[in-house]
Amino acid sequence: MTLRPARTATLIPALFILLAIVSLMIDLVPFARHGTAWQALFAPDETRFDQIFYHFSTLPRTVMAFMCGAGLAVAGAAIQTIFRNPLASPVTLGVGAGVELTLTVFLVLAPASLAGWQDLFTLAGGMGALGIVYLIASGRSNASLWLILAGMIVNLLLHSATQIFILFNQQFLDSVFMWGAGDLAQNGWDSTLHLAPRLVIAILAVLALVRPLDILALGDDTANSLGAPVKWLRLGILAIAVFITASIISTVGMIGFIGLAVPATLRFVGYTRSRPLLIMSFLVGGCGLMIIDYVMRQFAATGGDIFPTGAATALIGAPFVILILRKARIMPDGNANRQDHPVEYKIASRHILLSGLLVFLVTGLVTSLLLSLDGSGHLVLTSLDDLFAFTSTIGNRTQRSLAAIVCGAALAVSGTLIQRVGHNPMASPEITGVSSATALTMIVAMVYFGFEGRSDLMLIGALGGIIALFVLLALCRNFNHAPHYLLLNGLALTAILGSVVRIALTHSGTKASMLISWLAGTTYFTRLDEIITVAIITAILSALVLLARRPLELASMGADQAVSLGLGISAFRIAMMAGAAILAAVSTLLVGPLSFVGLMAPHLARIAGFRLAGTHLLGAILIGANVMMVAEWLARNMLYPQQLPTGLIAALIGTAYFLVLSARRS
Amino acid sequence: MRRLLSLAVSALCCIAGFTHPALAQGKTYQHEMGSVSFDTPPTRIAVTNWSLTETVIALGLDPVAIADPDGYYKWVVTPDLPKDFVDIGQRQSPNMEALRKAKPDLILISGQLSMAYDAFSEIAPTMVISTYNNGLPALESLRKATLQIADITGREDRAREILQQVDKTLATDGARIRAALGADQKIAVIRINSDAQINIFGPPSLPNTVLAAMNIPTAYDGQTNGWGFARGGLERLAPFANDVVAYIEPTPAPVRQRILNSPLWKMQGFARQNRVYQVPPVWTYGGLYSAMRFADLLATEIENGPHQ
Repeated sequence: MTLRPARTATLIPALFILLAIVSLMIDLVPFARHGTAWQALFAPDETRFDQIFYHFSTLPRTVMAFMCGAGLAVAGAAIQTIFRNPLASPVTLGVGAGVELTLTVFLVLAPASLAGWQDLFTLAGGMGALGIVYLIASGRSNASLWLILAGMIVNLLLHSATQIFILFNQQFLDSVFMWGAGDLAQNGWDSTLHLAPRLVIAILAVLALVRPLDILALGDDTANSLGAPVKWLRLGILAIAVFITASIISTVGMIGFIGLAVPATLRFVGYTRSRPLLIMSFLVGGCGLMIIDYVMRQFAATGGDIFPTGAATALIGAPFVILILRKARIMPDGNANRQDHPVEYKIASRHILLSGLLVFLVTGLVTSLLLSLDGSGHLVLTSLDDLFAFTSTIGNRTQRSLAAIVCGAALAVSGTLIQRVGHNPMASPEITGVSSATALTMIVAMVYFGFEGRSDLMLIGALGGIIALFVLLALCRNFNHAPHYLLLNGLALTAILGSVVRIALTHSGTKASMLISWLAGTTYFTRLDEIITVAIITAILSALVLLARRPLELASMGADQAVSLGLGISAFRIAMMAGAAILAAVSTLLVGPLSFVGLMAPHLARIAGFRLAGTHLLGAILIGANVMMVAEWLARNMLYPQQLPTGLIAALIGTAYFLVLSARRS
Repeated sequence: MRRLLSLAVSALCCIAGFTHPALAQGKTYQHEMGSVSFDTPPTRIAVTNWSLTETVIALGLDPVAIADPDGYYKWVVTPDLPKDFVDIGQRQSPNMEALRKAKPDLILISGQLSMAYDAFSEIAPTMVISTYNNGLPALESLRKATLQIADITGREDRAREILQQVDKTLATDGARIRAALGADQKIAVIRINSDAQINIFGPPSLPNTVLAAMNIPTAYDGQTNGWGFARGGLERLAPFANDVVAYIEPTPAPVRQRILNSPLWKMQGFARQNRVYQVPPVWTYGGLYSAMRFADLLATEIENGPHQ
């Protein structure tokens, strides 16, 4: 009771409310001049389009923005309190991706008669996704980190599934894509009035539950000893929060980060008790989204093109997360440096294991080149009848398999370096945002600056990746590369880049479909000279890293030990990280930023018992190459003659692996 | 480089004496990325997008390999595909192995696949013919492409027939529409994109060049992208309150329902004055048959009266 927010803290909500009111006023000025403001607000003159437009588009859109912002922020505040985790939010916990997948499937497959059931389907999708995340994280020692990680993994898995679905329904891509970017545009009051009662009831329900929330905020043990039915309270509040989120994003699309950034910021400036936190989240979230949406509407009006509000929200909200992470140690477990060391399974001697992997790679490669599936699911041996056809078929397959294998190896090395130097078994180029940064710089160079040459793009992408990695390291410097901060900063970075990519894609016009298939990781357009370039870069860098395996070993022991052993750790670290970024960038050009191999291969190698830096690297390289080889074969044959993007298949394999792994350990 | 790889593989198989298909001395044809030569006109043609598919069929040839035939029947509808052909998968990444099995002697691709031109050329002589995104008005571009493909395949007579048929069809349909609507009625052609977005076709697009050829005034003459349309919310339709709005199918059913029932749609002039027409699926990025299909269907719908 004694903890009152500081005076500056009350300024933040006041500022938001003021700005929101100003934006409302500006919209009404043109009508007020003619004395028709009242008319435009409540009873538009049906012969005047400006009044119709204001009454049936601008106004419901503004109300919608307020409702969605408020709802998402309240849901976020509740979820953060329940999990005692300032980085939990409905969207980071997989609800968004669950809704996205079910909505996409529904839009493409459902007949008109089922239109009214859309909400039920999407709600089930969101709940299901959160359920998986919750199951993975619950019962772990550091559940708050796992919650975020599981959320990321489930997000990626469901997102990959959505992408595959869209690839085969390209014509509906526009609908789904605009939804994914979170477009708040309204054509009437229907959606707003449809959403309003649910949100009002659900938000009131959350507000009525402040006392239980306060008790839950004390932690499970304390709450239990106070006699609270912790499990049921938590489930109940969680269900309401998911209901709010799923209702909102199935109506207006993906609006990221409001639910994360608003309550986290408010808590940081001093609103720690549930009641003021919820009320302020309601106000600031609502006004905040209103303001962002107002700005986006002005862009749309001038450029004639669409700037989706949801993507912009992520763009603005994600830096807040980075800021908060820098300002406060808010990991409730406190144990920021405790590592989540993978359990090791000693399967066989490492030499036998390495040779086994190599043999599998070689035989697998030969088999995958010769065997393919025909359209009806039968295995076919490539016929030797027509020699020219045979050689050229095998040549084509070799090229694509090589691309996949080389990228698998490059990502494995990159991931091993990031995991070892960053002291973090869950880091990888994909998770730390290096891959997204690479993809982003390439897309921007292509869409806005007209670069076409793939070698130019590779160079530009590598630069972007390196910059992103160093920004990330600079941000985490104070925490000595503490695992959680690296991951969470990476998450924020990935979200920022993801939203810029979405915005760039809405502007890319005719290139969009090509860019989307590249982002999904197709090996279709790779050329042999590119593969050779990437292979040479990978080989050189891997050899250098292998030569430096001793200092790498020291560096992965932690800065204190390494410095006491007299190792100039910083320069070495920077060199290793630069190498990791280059490898991530070159492989991103060939298979896109999505594959999960950079995370999975080093992790799996560690589990298989490759503990020393040198063998860890070799093991990871072989595992990465094997995984990508299998993914490439599946991508080419699973739906013959359609071809899936290899990166997406690898991501599916990788995320499934992590889900199985986490399920077994919990 | 690719050829080197093939050679290496063949060397591995220890078999000598295989020859590349000899470069013929016949007639040479230019295309966007080079030229190809043929002794005799090619007959086994592989097509990688629907515009080229319908153009080749229109010329009386049966393509041996076609991309996304299921989608074709949903979005392009006519003309019918041949009985026998190889399905080569998605249009944005045609399956090279399936394509090779079809044994084409000519592969037609658009500029969108130019990045894979070398790989295609290894299978068979490949020509890059873009019917859209080339800065030309659609109808002119399609006439040119049809004549170009006819020239290569020796079907010039058939091509001239088609061009005459187009002129005749557009003239008849134009007269039908003018008779039903009056000579000065402008038409805006759109596609419904999502709950809040539409594409409106502009000057270089297939629908608008067809309307212009029919002597029917078009409503939207602003900026467009390479496919000839601009994208935006329903407010983009506000200037066309007194025009006819025709939307082209298919649209996901729930999306169409929501757009057509929204106040912002219903309150605009074209809806209040009952000037909205639903046109059955036409591939607005298709060939000359699609152009005629559009004209025919639009005329029929307008004669049948506005969509309820």
